Amino acid sequence: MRCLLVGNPNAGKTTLFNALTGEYQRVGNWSGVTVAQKKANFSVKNTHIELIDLPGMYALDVSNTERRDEQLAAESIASNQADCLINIIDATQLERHLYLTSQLLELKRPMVIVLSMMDQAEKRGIHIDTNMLSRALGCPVVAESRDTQCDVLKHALQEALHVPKAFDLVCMDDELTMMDERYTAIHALVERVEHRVMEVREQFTAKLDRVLLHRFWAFPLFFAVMYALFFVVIVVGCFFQDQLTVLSDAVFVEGVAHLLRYLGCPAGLSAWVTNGLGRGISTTISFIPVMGLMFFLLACLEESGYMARVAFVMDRFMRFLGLPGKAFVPLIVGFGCNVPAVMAARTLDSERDRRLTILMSPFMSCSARLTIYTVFVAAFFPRGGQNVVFSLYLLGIIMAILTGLLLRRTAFPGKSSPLLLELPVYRWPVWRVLLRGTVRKLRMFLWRAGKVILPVCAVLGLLQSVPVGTNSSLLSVFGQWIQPVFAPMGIAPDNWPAVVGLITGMLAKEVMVGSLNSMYASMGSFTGLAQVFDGAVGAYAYLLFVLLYIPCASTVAVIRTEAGRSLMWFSVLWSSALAYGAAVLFYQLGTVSQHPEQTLLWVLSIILLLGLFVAYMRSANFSGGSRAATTS
Amino acid sequence: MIELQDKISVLKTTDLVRGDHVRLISFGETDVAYRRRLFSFGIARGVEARVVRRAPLGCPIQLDIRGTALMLRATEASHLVWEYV
Repeated sequence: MRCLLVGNPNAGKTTLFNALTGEYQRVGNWSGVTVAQKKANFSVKNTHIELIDLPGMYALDVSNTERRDEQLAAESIASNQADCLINIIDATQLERHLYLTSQLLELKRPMVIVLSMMDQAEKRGIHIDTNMLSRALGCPVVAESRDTQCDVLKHALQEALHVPKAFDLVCMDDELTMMDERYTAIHALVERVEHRVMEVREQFTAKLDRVLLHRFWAFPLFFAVMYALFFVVIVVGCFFQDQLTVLSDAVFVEGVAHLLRYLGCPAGLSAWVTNGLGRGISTTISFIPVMGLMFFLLACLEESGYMARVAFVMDRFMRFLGLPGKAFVPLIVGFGCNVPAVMAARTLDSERDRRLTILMSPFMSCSARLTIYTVFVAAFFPRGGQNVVFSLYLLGIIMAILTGLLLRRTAFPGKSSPLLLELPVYRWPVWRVLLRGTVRKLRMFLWRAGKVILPVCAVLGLLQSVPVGTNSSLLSVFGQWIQPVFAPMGIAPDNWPAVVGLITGMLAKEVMVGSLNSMYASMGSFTGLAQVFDGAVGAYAYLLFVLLYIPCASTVAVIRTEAGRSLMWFSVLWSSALAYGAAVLFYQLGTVSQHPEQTLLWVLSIILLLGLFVAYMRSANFSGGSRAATTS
Repeated sequence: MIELQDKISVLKTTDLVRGDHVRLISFGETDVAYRRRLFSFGIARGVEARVVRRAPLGCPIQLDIRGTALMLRATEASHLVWEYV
């Protein structure tokens, strides 16, 4: 038996989905957390049920919405492959959510209604007569709240699925299909089933919004929240990272070395295993505190409902880029990982907004890049490290904005689509869900990193152990061969591992520190980082490049599926060029006193190239991007 | 005299200020796509709205409609016609 979960955005579909199936799909307190359909199975009393979670939708007639996620949901419903529809209605928003319900009922398909957030409704003095609602709509109505036992709900659902369906709806005359009339009918129904105790007491949300959305304080508070996020991640996270590094190095590097020596392993093989694989594993493990904190805090922001407020506060500003405020949310999601950020662009209302946002999101500094910053910050900026990291994040945002402006003026002219957005009620995050989500993301991160890091470290280690002439390896010859390209941004010939690191970073940023670690380890000690880079200026230039160039293979792949091949290539080339330009510019200006003429030459040529590129963009035609793929 | 009063009590979205309690009387010349979008958010003729606030930079406006906090841009919804409740 196959059931579809249908409902308005942020009605709690995924929460119910997780509760029923025991899955841990991402939930959040803003519209559009789920952008693609998710499937899972569960069974009750020998009945096997396949549950499909759909993206949220406001209405069935999506013909004139361009939102990709709503279209996907409507297509799934129209394809008629489900045995039963489960319509989730937020009990606190009964009247508005019944609009979709009235359209669903017209499909004359077996349907169950689940009233979610009943506890919230009770708290706000809303009482709903579920029996009367069930009779009026002719389909079973199940009440659900956060405290509802899963089993109770499952059984209620199972029984409900077997109830014979009778469909005689409130407004079924052809004459009455006018949407106005629909609302009148719904309004009449709600009058009967819902009893509100008027509350004089001000709502918690309204009070909090008074501060967080205040005319003057909204912006400072937003930046304070963001700064606090990075402060906690860098200061607290790095403290634990240092401790863990010592511990995991002892186990995976020294421990393994001891073990291999004890087993009588040849020295060459032993060095390869410890410096390549051992160090790779050890580095990955040491990221756990920083990544975990970042995932956890971002999830807190999402769960609480603050994310949607960001869209409200930033809308005017985003319009300057020709984007709706909503586009800010995918960008912030990008701080966690660029892949879901590109996916989250599906919630935007037009193809143009979506493409623009997709091209901007790779510049948002993801948490994998954070791992590289922390290592460099520890080596070069012992004090005020969080400011250095914050500046990198800001620069990423600025580059995203510049990219947005450039594209808006050239390839994607026009206005952003009309804005209509719902501000959800603030909710305390459910710690259990948050923790499980964080653990799941961490596990995925470790798996993803490990999957790439081990082969990369193994290959690098092998290349390193192949001798070429005296005192150099195949890898160092290769690194030194490419190094001149990066010389203008301050990478010295003997710092070839930095170049190889950048190449491995194209696969995934999680790999970079690991591969740098193992390469520098074979050259001497990793604490010697301070010697191989040209001081703080050289290190910052390198970090700038890391921030801006291709985020990772996965992001590039998802840009391709979401926006098409031509935009993918544009993104790859543009970000690499921007990274190179910014890093060279910074290094040259930072070392201007040593070679003023050379600096001048570089600055002029970068400006000239940028000008030529903009001129080219003005004449280029970008209509080639294909439609987004249906699933990912 | 009565006519004059009627004119005064009719408002555009751009005229709304914080604290206003208004009812939608007409969609005016709002285009169909945007009108549908408004419908799906529960904005139909006769709906009552309370103006909660404007965003810090003055543009999106936050309305309380049927207990939901909705935000829209006053300039885009400029064709809507409201009256005081």
